[in-house]
Amino acid sequence: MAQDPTVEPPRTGRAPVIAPGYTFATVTDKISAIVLSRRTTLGWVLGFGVGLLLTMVLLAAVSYLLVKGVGIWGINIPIGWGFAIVNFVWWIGIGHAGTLISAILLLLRQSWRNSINRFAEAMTLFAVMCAGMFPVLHMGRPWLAYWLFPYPNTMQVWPQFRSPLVWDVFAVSTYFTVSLMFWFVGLIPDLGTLRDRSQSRFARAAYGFLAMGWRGSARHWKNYESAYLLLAGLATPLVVSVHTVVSFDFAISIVPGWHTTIFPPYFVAGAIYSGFAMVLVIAIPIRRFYGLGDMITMRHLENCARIMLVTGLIVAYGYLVEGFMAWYRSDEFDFFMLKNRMLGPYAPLYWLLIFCNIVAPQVLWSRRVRQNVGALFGISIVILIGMWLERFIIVVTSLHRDFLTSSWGMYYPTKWDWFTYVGTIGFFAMAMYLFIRFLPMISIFEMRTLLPQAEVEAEAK
Amino acid sequence: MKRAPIFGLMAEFDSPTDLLLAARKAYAEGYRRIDAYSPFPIEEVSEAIGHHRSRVPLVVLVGGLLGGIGGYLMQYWISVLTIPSTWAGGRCILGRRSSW
Repeated sequence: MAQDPTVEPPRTGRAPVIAPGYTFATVTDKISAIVLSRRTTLGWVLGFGVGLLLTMVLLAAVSYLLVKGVGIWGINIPIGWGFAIVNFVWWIGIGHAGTLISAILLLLRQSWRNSINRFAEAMTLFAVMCAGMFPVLHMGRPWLAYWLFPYPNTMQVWPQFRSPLVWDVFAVSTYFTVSLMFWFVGLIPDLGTLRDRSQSRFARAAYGFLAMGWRGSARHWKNYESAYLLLAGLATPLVVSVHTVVSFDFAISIVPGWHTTIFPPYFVAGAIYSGFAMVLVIAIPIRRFYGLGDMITMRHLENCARIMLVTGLIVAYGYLVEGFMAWYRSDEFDFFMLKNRMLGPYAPLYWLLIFCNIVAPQVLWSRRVRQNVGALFGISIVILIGMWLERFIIVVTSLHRDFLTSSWGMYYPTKWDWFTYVGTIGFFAMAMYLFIRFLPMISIFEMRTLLPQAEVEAEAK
Repeated sequence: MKRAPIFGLMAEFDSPTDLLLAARKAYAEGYRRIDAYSPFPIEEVSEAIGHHRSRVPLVVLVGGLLGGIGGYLMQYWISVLTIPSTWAGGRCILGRRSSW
């Protein structure tokens, strides 16, 4: 590392990656105490309670769905995809920031990733879980979900390999597996720390079991580092490939609006855009309520804001090219799709999306906004809403008025659509609360490596 | 009283530099069954105690090759052997129970 992370980089006015004055012991204490010794706060109990309640709403909505079928949702012909696919794409996009932070920023040796990677990876896992529910529930007969996998059966039926929906199955299941592995491998040394420090017998046994005999030997570290680096290498292409495959769902068809080549890069940028917004939405309260401002510093928040600004501009470029191509292709139906989006029945949502995703985030150009925690939180929420609207517009407006006026229709979500959607947000929150309470939300050993004391002196090298 | 033979020796160090220097010295003195423990990775130490190569990359390579070949064979089996399909290069005639 060229720079001491505890010191502000000269002449840039940026905050340090970790506040000065920490030792190995204080870093370990501060993070592990949240799990092991600090009292569970009332705020945690309330937040977890709300998450649990909404998860119950999800269970109720899903149970009713299993009884009645997808007819309880607002989907119809021609809009067969509705909320389920909107939410699927939204959630899976959110996950991408976690993988970007943990894999790509590791390979690029960015020291500021170290305090946000752990909970960003947890966010990825829970977001992919929420995402995965939707296509399965949308199938109508979710108990036959295993038909999506190619396996020999007496019916001699195979998945339709030309369908991007089948590619999705492979992309998302690979993504979940690799994310889980990456997250768990990253946790092992810290689980060892928790095992050694926990007072209760049960906690010692549980953390000890998960730590798999970690002792911190030089041999362990050598193997560990190479395994972690290789996993990062494996996860890196997934940052790009998963959302590319998801975008194919909307890119390779012939319906106007679902027939374009700009989708893969623009979806990937959008995914990272919404993902970093979610990282900030999680990081800002964590930092505030657990007093972790020394470890998740303004530097982290500002860097996230910069990434949002860049990816937001790529997304804006995507909208622009979509509009340009609709005109340039000189196809009557394509041009109608564009006009219908901007002026048709869903126009208010379209303009709200433009405001949320393109107009509002431009305030991030100002350093004063980037340094203002409250403003960052607000902008992140606006971006999350904007990215959700984007998927809604792509899914719904493209389908609701196609080539034949006789097949036009409208889509309105029902209360069950909303219950399911809000329920997954509750499940996500509940899972995050559990994670914060039972696992170290900041990587302890990676924070130790950031300290200047961890450096081997130059003459000994 | 007879003294038990020395089984091993442990020492604690305050800084990674001291640990590294001690590890190098022990290795230079001819000791081989040594190990160094630290709460964070110190790249040079594993070299210093003579642990140069990790077998992890080999395991990953073998796993990756097996997975890649296995995936390819699965596709071959499905699209050429069980349900010959037309879209993989026009090799076969129309598939039997497929959508086209």
